[in-house]
Amino acid sequence: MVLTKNNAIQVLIGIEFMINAAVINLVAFGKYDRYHNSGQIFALFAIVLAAAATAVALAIILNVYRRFKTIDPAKIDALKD
Amino acid sequence: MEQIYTLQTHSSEIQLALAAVLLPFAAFIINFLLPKTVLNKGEGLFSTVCILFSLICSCLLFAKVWARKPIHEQVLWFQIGTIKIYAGLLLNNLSVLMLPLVSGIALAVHIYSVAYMHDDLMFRRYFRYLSFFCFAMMALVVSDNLLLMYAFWELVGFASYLLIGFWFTREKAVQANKKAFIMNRIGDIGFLIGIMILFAHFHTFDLITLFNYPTNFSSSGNLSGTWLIVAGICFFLGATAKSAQFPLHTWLPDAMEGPTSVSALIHAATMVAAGVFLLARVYPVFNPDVKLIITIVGTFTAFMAATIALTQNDLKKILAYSTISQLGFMVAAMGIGAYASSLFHLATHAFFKCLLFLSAGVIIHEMQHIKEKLHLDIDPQNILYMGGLRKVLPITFITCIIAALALIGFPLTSGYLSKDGILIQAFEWAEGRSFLYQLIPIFILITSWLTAFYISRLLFKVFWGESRLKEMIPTFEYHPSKENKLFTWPMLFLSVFCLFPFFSLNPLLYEHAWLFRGFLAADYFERENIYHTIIPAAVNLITVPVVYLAYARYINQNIKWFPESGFLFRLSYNHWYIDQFYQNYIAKSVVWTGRKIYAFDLFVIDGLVNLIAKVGLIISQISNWLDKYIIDGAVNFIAFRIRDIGSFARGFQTGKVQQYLLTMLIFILSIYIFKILI
Amino acid sequence: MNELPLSITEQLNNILQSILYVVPETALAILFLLVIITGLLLKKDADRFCQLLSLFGLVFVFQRDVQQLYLILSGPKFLFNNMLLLHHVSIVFKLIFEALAFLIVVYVPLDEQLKVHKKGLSDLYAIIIAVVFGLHLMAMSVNLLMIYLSVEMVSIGSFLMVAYRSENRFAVESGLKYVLFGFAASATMLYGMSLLYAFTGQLDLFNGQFLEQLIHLNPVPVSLAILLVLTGIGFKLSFVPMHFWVPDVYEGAATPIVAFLSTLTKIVGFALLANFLTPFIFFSHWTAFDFRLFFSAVAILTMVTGNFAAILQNNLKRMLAYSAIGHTGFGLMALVTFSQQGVSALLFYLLVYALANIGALMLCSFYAGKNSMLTVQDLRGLGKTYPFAGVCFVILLISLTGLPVSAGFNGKVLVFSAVIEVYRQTHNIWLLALLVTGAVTTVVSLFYYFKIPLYLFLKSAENETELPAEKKQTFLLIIIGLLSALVLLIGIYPGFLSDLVR
Repeated sequence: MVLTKNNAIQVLIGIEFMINAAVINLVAFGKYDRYHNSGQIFALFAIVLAAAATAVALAIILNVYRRFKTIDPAKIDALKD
Repeated sequence: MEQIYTLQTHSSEIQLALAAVLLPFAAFIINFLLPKTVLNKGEGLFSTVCILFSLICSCLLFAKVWARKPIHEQVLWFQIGTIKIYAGLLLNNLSVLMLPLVSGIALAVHIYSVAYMHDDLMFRRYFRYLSFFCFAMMALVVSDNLLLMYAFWELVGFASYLLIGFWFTREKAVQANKKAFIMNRIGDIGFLIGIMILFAHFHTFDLITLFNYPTNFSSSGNLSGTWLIVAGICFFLGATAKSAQFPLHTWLPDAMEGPTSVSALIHAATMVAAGVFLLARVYPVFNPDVKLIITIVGTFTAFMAATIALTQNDLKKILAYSTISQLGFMVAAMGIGAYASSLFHLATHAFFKCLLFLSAGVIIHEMQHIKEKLHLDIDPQNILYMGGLRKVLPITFITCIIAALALIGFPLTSGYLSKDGILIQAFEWAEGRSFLYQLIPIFILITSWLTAFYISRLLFKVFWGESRLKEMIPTFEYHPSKENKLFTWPMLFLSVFCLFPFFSLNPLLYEHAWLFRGFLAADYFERENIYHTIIPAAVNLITVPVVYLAYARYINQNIKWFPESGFLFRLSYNHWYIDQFYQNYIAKSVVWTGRKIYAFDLFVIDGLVNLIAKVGLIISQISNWLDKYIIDGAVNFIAFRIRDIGSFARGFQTGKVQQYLLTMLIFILSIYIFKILI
Repeated sequence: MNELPLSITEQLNNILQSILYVVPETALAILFLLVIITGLLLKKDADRFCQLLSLFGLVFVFQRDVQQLYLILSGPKFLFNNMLLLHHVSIVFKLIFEALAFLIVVYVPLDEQLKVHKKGLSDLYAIIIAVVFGLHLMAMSVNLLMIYLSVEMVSIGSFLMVAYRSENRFAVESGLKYVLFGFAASATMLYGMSLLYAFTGQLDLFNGQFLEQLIHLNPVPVSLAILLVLTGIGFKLSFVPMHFWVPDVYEGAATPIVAFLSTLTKIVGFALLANFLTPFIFFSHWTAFDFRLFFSAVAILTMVTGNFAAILQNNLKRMLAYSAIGHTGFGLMALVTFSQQGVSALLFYLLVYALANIGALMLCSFYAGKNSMLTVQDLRGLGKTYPFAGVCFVILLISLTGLPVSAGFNGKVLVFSAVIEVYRQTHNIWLLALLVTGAVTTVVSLFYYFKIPLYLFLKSAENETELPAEKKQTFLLIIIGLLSALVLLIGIYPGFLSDLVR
């Protein structure tokens, strides 16, 4: 999804999936860490941080749409060699 | 805590050395700071006075230190971890010789430049750069550790870079200084790696500390064989670039795009000798294997450059190749262990080559003058347009002759003493070794004859005969112009140093030269070997016909152009009598044996002359070809490969962020797969 | 079996004790709030007040950092239940951050392109302070959670900074690329961390359990997890193959922001990498993943890519971007020695690189004015119009190339000697390859760095279109001059700096 979608928001969703995979990992293996519960805590942090990062990304995508009238990452390539 | 030398013990020497080094720097700074209106072209005078005082200091210092115990003073510079880095002065025979040598030649060039650059728009800048160069060069000479040496080594390179591109409006000059810079960088990397290797092993940059322990560099010492060879080659690479040795020599002929006075100071006398100086400073590093490489490279360079010089027509190019060739002599001498002879030749060569360049400057100046006056479209440096200049520039003529004789190594000149030293020791070195080793002295010998040929050709073309401009403009006449005193005095000053009395009271025995004795190492040969009598005789006996050969070639070409010239020329130079002798001999044989034998003789002698000339021509063409395709080609090849790699890396930069991510993914996966596989 | 969980009282005691050691960070957090509030309350002079406030605040934090040096004389100190580790190197990193951030805050309003931003700059100062806070945490974190948290903190701030000029097409485009690339990289890192957690049940890198568990596992999945974590760190460091965003982002973002990204976030990447690698290096039974091999190969690739691609660039900022990649490779070379000497060399090298790079970017601002796409050809003949700026440029470039006598030269010498030292002990062929690549790419870097003085001084302007006459940039020039002088000074007397980093 990250690599193939031609819509920046769908790319973001793809990245969210990646993060969710990691979060599930953390929570699942937190089962073996009964005393510290650090897995669960990490999962919470990860969710919050992902939300923050997504907010920033959405703001930027909004600006991109204003300037370029498209949010297809493949079409936004004015800066290149 | 190591012992730190205090500044009291030799304070007067140290102060003199510091004054000698810092005076040009002061001139540079003051010239830089003062606004244009204050000095009004007085920069030249100011720099000259500074270098004069610097020379006086150097001479006093020389008198105090020469042939005495070396003086070494240092102060703590900075500290990395437990390693303390000192900065200081090392005044031994080598450095106190170089100081007056550099400042003396620089003084002559300064005086000369005041007149030579007088009408240049960038007069101010010129003297700033010149002072800066003198500072860097003299500081390089007295530095006591490799790190300082490297710093000043770069600074002299930088000054040379500025001065080669001095006339930066000329495209050729810009190209030339770029080339010089890049070529020198290759060498500098070698030098730096060499320093690093030594530092990694001994944790010091200090020359005295490095070389005072004999075990450091003996075969059983703590530097193992491979490292020693690598370090030696690295240092030699540095010297190769700076002293324009094969294969890094191509920058020097191009560097002639700078002002002629600069070529005289930097690219003939001093900076290019810094490579040889470096070899001398780190001499203990080189083990026999590296020395052999040094010898081969030096000899090959000397021979190759001499053959190239045979066919050049640009006055400064001939001198440039001649410089390369002579530097090859010095390097080869270092390689065969003729340490003292090499430095002796460095000193004598500095004087006579600087003199040759200054004379060339006067000639070019004159030709430029004629060109502008008559609105001719000629190259003022091309010797084919010259001729007969001895009448116009008598003093230049005389100085040029003296310098050329010294270059050839004629008896009674300084060059005779130093060159014989190298030749004799080369033969002694090769004695008792295999045939291949014998080639080294033989090639050096041939090169010295070639030297005689090309420099005679140059002299004949420039000074003898009639001006070839007459062919273009039949009414052309030289207008006797007075030679500027600011040109002639420095040249006469230098020509004194091209003669034997300054170096040795005995004009024939190089061992008696005080300079040679100053560097005597353990490998001193007593004068009992047969080479000592045979070689000087052989060299000079064959040099005479070689000069004649040049003369004959010159006549042959001349006949095509000016059938009636040649009389004055023959009378004015004693080789004319030899020619007369041949003529008489042939004439007599005509009487004796008739036309056939006459024709046969003519055929043999002309054929021989032509054959030798042709062989020389072919060899020099091959060298030129090598130069052009192999060396420049290699440089181009590397440049293109760099370009290719760059384009390859750029190819990923499509501007599309998803492609970046994909490339990254592929990279990481391939690293991972690779990781699993191994 | 793990030790029993600490009781609430013990935990609270630990936290209370730790607070003593995070005074600079607390100060930064308060400073961030102050700057934001000042920006909101003041309307007219918000920019100037916020700048002054940030500058004073950074000086204060710097002074607190210096005091920390005395706090840890007895040895490194773990804080907040092994979340953070305060040691000498991290404090030096923090000092470097403060000094460079100070420079950049001074620099921000001097850039013509940022100045015209209609919403003012007060928010930018707040973001910078917040990112510096994140940098502090990154330099100290030794726990996977803390690493992720601080990396994200820095990343989010950086995304905002890059896209700050929302009215500019290029800035927005580079912002998009940066955010997508960065987000994906940090998601990858998070996945790697979750795998590490799965293998060990530990987030604390310095806990003995962590490595004990890892070495008993199959090295294949372990190295996958490590590789994924390194991807995230590599994004911050921008080594190959995580370098693709660099040229595009540097070209589009405002020049002071580029100065920030190319120095501060790069340096912190090294700090983080050092923290992450330390437990693996000092654990003698570690064989699953050869870090030296990996980083040597990466460093070689990075040096080659960065320096060689820079040759073909005409856009000045793109060229500096590629050269920054090259410098990362060189820094990695110092890191792979994994020795005390190497780390000192790395710190020295990074600091002098940062000074010279910020100076060079300031000069880009100076020459560019409002022209956002400055090419090398635009510099044609400007050396004569602004001789002082030209001379400073040459000095800074000499330092970046590593020619004597300049700070950069000393930096390169230190790095080379550190690597040679280790090579002599281990005879690792990769180190030799690194040395050779380092030397070769140094030569290569000459080709593109010296394109600039070539155009500045040796080529004359084709058309005599003067830049907008007498821009009021004397102040910027003074700072550039000071930086150049500093670079030269460190070149001649590296002593006082090398004392600091030791």
